[in-house]
Amino acid sequence: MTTNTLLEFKGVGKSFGGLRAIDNVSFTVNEGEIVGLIGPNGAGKTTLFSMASGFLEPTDGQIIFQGTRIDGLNPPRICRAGLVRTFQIVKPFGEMTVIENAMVGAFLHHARPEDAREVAAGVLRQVGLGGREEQVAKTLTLSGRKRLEVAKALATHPKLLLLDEVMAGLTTVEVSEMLELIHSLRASGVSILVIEHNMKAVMNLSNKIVVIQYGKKIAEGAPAEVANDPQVISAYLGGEHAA
Amino acid sequence: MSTYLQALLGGISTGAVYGLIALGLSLQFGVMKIINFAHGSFLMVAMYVTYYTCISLDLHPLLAAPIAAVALFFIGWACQRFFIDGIYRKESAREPIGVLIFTTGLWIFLDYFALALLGPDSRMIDSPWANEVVIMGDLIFTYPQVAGFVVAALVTTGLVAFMRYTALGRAIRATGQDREAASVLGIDSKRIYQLSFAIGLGVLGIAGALLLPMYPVNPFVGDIFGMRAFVIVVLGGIGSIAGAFWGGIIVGILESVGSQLIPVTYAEALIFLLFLGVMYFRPSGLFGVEKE
Amino acid sequence: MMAVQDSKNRPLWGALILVVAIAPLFSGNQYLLSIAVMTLLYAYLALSWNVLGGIAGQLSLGHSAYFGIGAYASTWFFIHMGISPWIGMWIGAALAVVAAVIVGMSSLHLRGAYYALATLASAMVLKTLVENADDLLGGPRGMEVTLLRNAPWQFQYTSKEFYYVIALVFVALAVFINWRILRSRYGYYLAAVRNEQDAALALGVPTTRYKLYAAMISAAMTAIGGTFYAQFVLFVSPDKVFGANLGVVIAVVCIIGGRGTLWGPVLGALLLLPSEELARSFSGGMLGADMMLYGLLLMLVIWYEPRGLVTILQRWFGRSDRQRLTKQGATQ
Repeated sequence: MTTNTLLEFKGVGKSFGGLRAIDNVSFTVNEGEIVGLIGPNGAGKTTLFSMASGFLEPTDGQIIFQGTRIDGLNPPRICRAGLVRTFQIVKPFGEMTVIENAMVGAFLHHARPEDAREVAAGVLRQVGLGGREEQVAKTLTLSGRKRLEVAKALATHPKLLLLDEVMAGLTTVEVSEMLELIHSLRASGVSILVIEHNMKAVMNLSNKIVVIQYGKKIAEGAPAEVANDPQVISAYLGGEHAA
Repeated sequence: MSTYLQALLGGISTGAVYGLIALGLSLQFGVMKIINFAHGSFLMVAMYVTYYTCISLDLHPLLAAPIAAVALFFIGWACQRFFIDGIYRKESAREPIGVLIFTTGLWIFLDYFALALLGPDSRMIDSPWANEVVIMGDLIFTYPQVAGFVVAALVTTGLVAFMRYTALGRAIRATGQDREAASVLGIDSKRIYQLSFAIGLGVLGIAGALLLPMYPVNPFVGDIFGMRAFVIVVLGGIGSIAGAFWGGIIVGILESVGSQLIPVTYAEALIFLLFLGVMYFRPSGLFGVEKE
Repeated sequence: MMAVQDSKNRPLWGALILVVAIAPLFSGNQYLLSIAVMTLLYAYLALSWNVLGGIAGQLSLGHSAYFGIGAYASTWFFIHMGISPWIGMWIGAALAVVAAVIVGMSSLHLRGAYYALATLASAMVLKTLVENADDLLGGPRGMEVTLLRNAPWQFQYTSKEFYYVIALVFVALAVFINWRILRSRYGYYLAAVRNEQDAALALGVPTTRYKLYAAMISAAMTAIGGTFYAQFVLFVSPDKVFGANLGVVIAVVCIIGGRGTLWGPVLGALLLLPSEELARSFSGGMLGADMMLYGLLLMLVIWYEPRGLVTILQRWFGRSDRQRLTKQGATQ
């Protein structure tokens, strides 16, 4: 491998009692890549995110980030190591203002409120929320909240960003704005793993796509390859449609 | 040996009544996800209603039970309709702290209003029936104990049947599980909430009538019973009516057997310790219907 | 919440507060001073509770435990070992911190109402233990603080002015502590935890640890208030300092005033304590009139403006929502 492996899922499995939610999933995210994680609803994609970010512990297998095992560590430690997740159902700090929300992220590496505020302001401009600093977070539109979700994570200076369905519920215009944002994030040095149902968006964004069905990986490769994979097609014909 | 057996059986009968007290709380939390800190105070109201009904109409406490039940039913309905609903709808469904705090205010207000209105003295029903006993071998049971168990068991069974086999009961359960889905089916959640709250308090009315012959009433009698109710709800699992019954029995037994073993002054702390223990080791209860 | 005070008006408000604060000292009226001291004590206790219950958002109903620990600790060490309550105060605070850690470790992971009940239950268990410690702690009858009349170094004086000044200083310190927390990273983190715990975790906030710190700070502060009370009334008993009522009232005062804000707790005390006294006098000694008032006011406030007096006043003074919420920093 000439590129650096940033995140590696190695034979990861997760059982909830009798239910085998994830089974023997292995793939990597390399530095500078955007990897798309797709699959029908309930396939287990968010479970993979939760395990990578420390909210769940794998039943078997390993998760390795920058050469160190992170499976079983708690979320704050993993976040400090440079891996941050967003939530599918966005969780803004509703009563706080937009900039205060971003500051919570910024405080990870900047202890002084003045510094955190500066970093937060910068991040907000990056995601296109500049000018809305003093708005109370719970009054934002969905598109605003999604951007805020990205901003909060971005303010922690992550090396790897896990974006969970960040396009869901957005209009076509908003989707293309978000695409631009994600591309610009990668350009600024952040690697990204995205869960998405919006096929056009995923094809547009990703260097590589991983397909999960019923907790198992059924395909991995360049977007064009995967799109023509018969297994993938049949998995989707039964369920999801491209947005 | 027979003292322990006596205590055990006595505990079962008081426990059944405890279960009845907890039942309303469990129902309210299961359906509306609200915590009603004024629950104990409502029990106090039920007991006073029973008391005054008995002495002014010269009624047998068991006959006063339906009156208390109806009175509390309406109080419950009014409370939900005019107060709780308003606050509930104004706030986040996930963590209804507002209702919690509001019912805390209600709890304080009711207790001290009773104090101001009726004075601090404890009152007990003087009916001869309350002192009659049933003797079985070495064991002695007072009529109130027997009646308490029988009525509580009947009411609980009736309610379980209601929830499981009637359309209205199913509607209540559906609303508790998923309010939006239920409304798609045409179920009016507002009325369901009113009904649930009212049923919860109506049952409390019966419990009050059953308790009065065994226990004197004073403005603060609700506090310790309220705490017991919370212990029972978490033991038996939130939202589970049968769970409340069995949880009540367990608490009743632990209390009466426990008081044989430890000094009385520590007895009150037993309930609190039990609560803390359950919270620490099994927060979802023994019959947990809902997970944390 | 400096919002009510515009930057140009700030010196004016400051002067006003100073005048109002100092005025009672010149009245010479011991009765008035007594009420003023109790008002300040409750403001202090509400400010202490605010760190855990307001800023960190953990609704504790069992703070009487810490108050009682403070009152009993300083009194015991004074009576039995002659240690000045000024020192005993810190022993009490340390013990309260230990208690807070024990309670916290077993209950901070619980949700809303369960946490509230667990704190109440813990406080009641402690009260029972103290009530039963006849030999060590005087049992239900409690302990009397040895009367020394004028002994400022032993935290005692005959005139109420002494206690008033100390209470004022305590309140100022408590306001200062709240203020520092609110503007610091820790304060922002606590607000994040209060709003959305999972999101805070995902951003690197050690939620459990930070909630525990808040509990520890709050407990220590409350315990010191307990020592003050013991020295003011010169008597401690389980009913008076470990009672469930006390724990609930402290929370109520803070909530009515505006929990999570800087001045809310103070406003709450300013409204409630004098009202309680008025209710008592006007009701002709009707039992429980004061508590009835608390219950009623609590219900009214939650009904009309759950964010408390602070927010109600801000609305009257015409501030817009946006400005208010930002000037408060990382608070509601």
